[in-house]
Amino acid sequence: MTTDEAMRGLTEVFRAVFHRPDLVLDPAWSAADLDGWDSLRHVALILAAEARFGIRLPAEATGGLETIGDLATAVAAAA
Amino acid sequence: MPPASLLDAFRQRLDTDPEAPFLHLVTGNRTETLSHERLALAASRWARRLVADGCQPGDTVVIVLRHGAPLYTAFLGALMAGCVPSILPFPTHKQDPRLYWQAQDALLRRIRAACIITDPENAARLRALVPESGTRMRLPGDEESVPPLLAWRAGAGADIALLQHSSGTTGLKKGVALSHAAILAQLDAYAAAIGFEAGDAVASWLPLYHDMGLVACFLLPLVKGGAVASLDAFEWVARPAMLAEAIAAHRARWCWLPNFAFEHLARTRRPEERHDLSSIRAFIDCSETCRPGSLDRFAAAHADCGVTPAQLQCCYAMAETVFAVTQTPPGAPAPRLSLSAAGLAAGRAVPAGPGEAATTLLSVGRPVAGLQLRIQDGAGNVLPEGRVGEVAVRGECLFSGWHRAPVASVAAFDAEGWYRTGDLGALVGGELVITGRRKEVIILHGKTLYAADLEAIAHQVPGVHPGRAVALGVPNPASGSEDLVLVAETPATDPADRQALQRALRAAVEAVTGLSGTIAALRPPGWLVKTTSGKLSRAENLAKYLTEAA
Repeated sequence: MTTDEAMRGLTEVFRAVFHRPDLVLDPAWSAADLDGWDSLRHVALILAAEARFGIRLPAEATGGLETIGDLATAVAAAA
Repeated sequence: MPPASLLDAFRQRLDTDPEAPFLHLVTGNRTETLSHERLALAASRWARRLVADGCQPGDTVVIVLRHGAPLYTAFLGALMAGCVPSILPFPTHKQDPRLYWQAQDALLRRIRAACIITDPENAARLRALVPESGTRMRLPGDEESVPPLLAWRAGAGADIALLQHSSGTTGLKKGVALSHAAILAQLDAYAAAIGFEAGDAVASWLPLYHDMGLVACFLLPLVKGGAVASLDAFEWVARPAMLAEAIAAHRARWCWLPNFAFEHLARTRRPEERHDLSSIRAFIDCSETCRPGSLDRFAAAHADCGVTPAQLQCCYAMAETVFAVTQTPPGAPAPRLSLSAAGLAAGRAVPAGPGEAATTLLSVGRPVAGLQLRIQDGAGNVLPEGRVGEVAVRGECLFSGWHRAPVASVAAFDAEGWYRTGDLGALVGGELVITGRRKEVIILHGKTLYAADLEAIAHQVPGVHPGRAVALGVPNPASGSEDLVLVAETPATDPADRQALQRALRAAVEAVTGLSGTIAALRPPGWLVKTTSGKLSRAENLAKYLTEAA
């Protein structure tokens, strides 16, 4: 999977998890760039991404993720 | 009879059953088990280290350590040396350490600890903050070079045993001073209230700088002949199933959780990860508003693990009473009260009539033995059952005052020894329901914060002016907790500028407090509601925010 495809899927994921149907993601964004992106939401994002793409993202892989771009790279690699 | 000490039961266990396990430290996939004997050996080396450093009985020892054996052994060692341990949180990897320690500076100056025990990564910054030669700094490992202290100097009775700094956001935290007698009174009463038995294991991820973690998940099993399987809070958030694994592995009987954790566990449950949770006598919901939906979702998501509604209990607790004020009895589901919504709005807690709009609240139980509870109005008059007012408490397990704050400490108790909790509630058939609290308090994921501290952080952000920001706790049914909303007035209209300001606000809160997930709500100048004397009206700002969000 390409990171572009991953970003498209992640857009759906973020929109659902944050209840913001019009959200447009910026790959440079990290937790400080979105309201309500705390450590619990972070776990919810990982789980929702796993469900959306049918993959597993092990804890070691997700621990260092800072930006949405990082997450897209991890998803593309696992899918 | 000499007054009793927190360490008496521990010493007895060392005589009768030294190899009995006390601490199962879970880190990643590994569990390290420490027996009472091993714990005591390391702790008594810490005690010798402190005494050799010149620490006197009654001196405060500040402990800032990560999840690990030294956290427990240094704490016990301080008690053995007759010192007063105080566990403080460490900066998370997302926090700016410089800002974090700056914020702790005022607190550390007030505490004037004789010794600070901390991990190497904090040592340099802490040393820069407390340059006075009177405060020693020690790292884990420093105790290995001294022999164990055999003659303990533990305090007892009215002596202060420890300081608790659970509440508050930054250096303005007050140190709740708890005596050996108060702690032992609480542990006796609480063990009886829940039916804690010798041999019982507790499973916990709660940090020890939080009263629930320290008292229910460390001191209670220590004094009542139990054991604890202890997880790292940060590891648990990322991998919540660790808790179920630990419960099953150690046949844990007890688990205390803030309400949000029930939702988090329900939401993150993977069907293929099934662990036997039937050993649990009670999952106890405490530290923030107990929500019926959160318990229901947790039970539903774990029914196939042996979880039943009878295991789900509620507790109302605070550091000022050591821990529990009230507790629902294990064995039957925590009672739910269907109260008239209109009645609650008018300050009355009465059962909803047929066809009437009802609010279902969980009971948080009845007072534990030795603790008296009453509901009073603003003037201190006692209110009868069914009337909403401020919860006041009195009894053997009350705190001795706030550390180095003698005036405030005396003022905290009224002439008859009642302590006003600041929480609003009512008694219904002898059951306590909590209906609200002072608006300057925000409880986020079980952590008590003060709005003023958060507003002070906001004021430091360029573009935000004093008096032009308010911190609100907004209930979030999905998370089972509250969201922190910082409402800040700004004339900025450019989207990029607004985004940058929002980012700066969120980052500032995280840098100082470690809390992520702040909602930065920008509003036009003049939006905030003020009283006629020019002060921010939190209640009205909250109402306005909620009305507009609806």
